[in-house]
Amino acid sequence: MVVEEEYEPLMTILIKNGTYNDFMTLALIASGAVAIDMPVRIFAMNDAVWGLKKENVGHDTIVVSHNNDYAHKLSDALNGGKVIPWWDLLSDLKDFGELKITVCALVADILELKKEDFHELVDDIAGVANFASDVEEAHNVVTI
Amino acid sequence: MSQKIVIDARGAYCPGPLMELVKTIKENTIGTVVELLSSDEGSIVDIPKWVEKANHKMVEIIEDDGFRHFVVEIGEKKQRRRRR
Repeated sequence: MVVEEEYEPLMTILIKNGTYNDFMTLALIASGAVAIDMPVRIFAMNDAVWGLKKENVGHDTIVVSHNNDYAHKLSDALNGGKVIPWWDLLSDLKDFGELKITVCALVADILELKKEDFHELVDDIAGVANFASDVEEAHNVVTI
Repeated sequence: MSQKIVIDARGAYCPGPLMELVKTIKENTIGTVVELLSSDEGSIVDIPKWVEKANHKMVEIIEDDGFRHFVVEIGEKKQRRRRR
């Protein structure tokens, strides 16, 4: 008799862009997963790595959009305290459940950044083997 | 009768109300009743779906003036087998 293992679901998210909007999307998607006790593995590449630098998290609130009305509305909502800033949401999610952020080793090398240069939200610096392993477990990748 | 905890998340946008509910439920025990007040339009879909998925009980949803009351009774936490 074959007994199938009942796997715990897992969500992997690849974030490549580093604007406020992109990080907001990241935090929102991750919140849905953590809310149902689904572990989340985030892999940051390219501009997102820059956005996770210690001095950028919590300060870079520039909304980039092709739609000026949307950018203004989002900025107003942020300034009015109606939207949870992405860094606060990700921090809360780490408290609520299992969420891990890894930054791409290649981009960290290019930018000459070490672990201590990143915000405390970042768990480690790793390469594609680590990401591939997470994807293999999750059977899915959400790309931002 | 168990105590009812009221969370006033009116004015907060998605996922604020859901996060407030998740946080409160994690901090309390089975049988506790939590009433969430939310003006977020998405809550009418999100909150009942999460409550069902997380094995809690949606006691009632009351329409009010520009917001809704979501009354939830905390259920037994689902246990999942770890992958590794």
